[in-house]
Amino acid sequence: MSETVVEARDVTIRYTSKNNSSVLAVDGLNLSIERGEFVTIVGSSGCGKTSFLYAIDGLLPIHGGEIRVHGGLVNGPGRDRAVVFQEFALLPWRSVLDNIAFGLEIRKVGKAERHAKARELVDLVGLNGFEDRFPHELSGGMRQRVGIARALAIEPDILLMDEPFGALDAQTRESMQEELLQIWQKTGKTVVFVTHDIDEAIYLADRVVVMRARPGRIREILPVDLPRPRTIDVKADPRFVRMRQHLWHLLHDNEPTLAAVQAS
Amino acid sequence: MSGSTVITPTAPPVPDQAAAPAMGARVWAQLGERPRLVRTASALSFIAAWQVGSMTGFLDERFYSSPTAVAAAGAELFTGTDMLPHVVTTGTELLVGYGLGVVAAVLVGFVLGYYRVIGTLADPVVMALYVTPRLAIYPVLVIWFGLGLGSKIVMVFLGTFFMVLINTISGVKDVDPSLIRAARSFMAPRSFILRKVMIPGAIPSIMTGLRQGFSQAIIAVITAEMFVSLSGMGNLISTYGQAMRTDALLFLVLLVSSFAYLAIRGLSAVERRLSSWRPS
Ligand SMILES: Nc1ncnc2c1ncn2[C@@H]1O[C@H](COP(=O)(O)OP(=O)(O)O)[C@@H](O)[C@H]1O
Ligand SMILES: [Mg+2]
Repeated sequence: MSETVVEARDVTIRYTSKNNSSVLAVDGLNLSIERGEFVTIVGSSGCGKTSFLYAIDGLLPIHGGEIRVHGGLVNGPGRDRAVVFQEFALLPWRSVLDNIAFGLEIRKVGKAERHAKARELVDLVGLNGFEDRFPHELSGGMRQRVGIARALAIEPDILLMDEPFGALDAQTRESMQEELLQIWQKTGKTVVFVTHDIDEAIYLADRVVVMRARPGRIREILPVDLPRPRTIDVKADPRFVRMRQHLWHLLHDNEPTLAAVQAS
Repeated sequence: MSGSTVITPTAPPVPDQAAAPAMGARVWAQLGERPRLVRTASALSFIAAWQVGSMTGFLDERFYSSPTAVAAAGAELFTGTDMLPHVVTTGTELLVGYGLGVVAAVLVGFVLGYYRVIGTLADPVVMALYVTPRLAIYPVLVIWFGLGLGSKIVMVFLGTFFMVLINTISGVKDVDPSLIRAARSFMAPRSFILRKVMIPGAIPSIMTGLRQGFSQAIIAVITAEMFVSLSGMGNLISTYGQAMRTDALLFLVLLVSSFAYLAIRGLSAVERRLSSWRPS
């Protein structure tokens, strides 16, 4: 039986800037996410993806509508959610192991226990041998492995990922995508994954949520009926190619054409 | 280069015209890699020139003294009992003023850096006091705190305080907001964020403040003592200055600078250790 774990109804998020003008980052957004689902959110930069993701985590207050997680209203971060940040957000003065154990330390888990747990995750994300390194000694891909391990360490039901592979080169990105799918299959987490890369959005998702900008709204939700487990070869599947084309047009029709820009 | 190398006609062929400039460039490059050697050479030649200058009468020894005279004055000061009470006075003023200044500045700096509104309110006051020439208010401090230790401790305190304060505020403000966000997402209470994110994040900047504050402290204590005091290294320097004892004066200046240099080198080493996580 499917069970709704995230329910967003009519969500509005506003930013008020210094000169008192306000930006409507997200406006009237509705979305339900099922347990164990892998949902990706695509949209051009500035369309409110990060804002929405942070609102699900409870990092950002909403100004209208409601977000429920496991039926309860979100009014702050919770034990059942963890975020993987676009900018990694690792403590630069902590070793890999202590970064992974960060969330557990906040939850007052004892040192021996949290290090044991962190070591399990080192195995899971393939960072063996790097436990005592510092973030600045790692490549971007390895840093984000730490970010993922840190989020998984607190055993959340829902993993909120904000363009986690956005800063990585194409090759690293593809292998990280493949590994993320394996981890997801192994752990059965619900994943909300923000990206602006169309291929990444389709490749990973059960459903792709397409957003449009100013104000941030859902334009379309596209179910991805490609078989799992997926490998990189799926990107050559005609259904994949058709979806990519469809999404490309959705995302680009939104923007003014070059002719329109020149005319104005 | 070893002096015993004999260049034989069978040495590797080198184009004749290129040989001379290449040789010069090579020596130059090697010297570039031995900064310690170059520094020592420069210091030694300066001292030698000074000595020769005063021995030949080119430099009037009454005004310029000489390295041997300075060394003799140093030996005299160290073996006698005149200098010790002055060292104790200056050391006490420095220690108390600097210690209090550091503690106060770090505490106030965290408050001003952390609470944006208070920080913005305090900013013009801090800046105005920071740029005020402190020696100008020293006469008033003497009236308030006396001719002795009190007025110097306050001067040292002020010099240290503003340097450390400015650096602490910017250190706290510059803590990466994404780290605070991550901690909040993991439900960290404020005290945890302060202890495990803000303090470690601000430490490199605070250490810079400690180092800069120490040079301010040294300058403050010596100038204040030279201005109005009953004892202290600055007092001694100004006494010897008035007596035209250039040799003793220069020795004392050298002593104070060496001490300051070593202390700052020590603080830099600690700073580097505590900032090792920063990508260079
Ligand atoms: N801290 C902020 N202050 C003011 N406006 C913001 C802030 N963060 C985001 N915005 C605005 O809200 C909109 C959505 O931002 P964001 O959620 O970061 O979009 P995305 O992640 O899709 O790029 C953008 O127009 C952005 O300029
Ligand atoms: Mg974003």
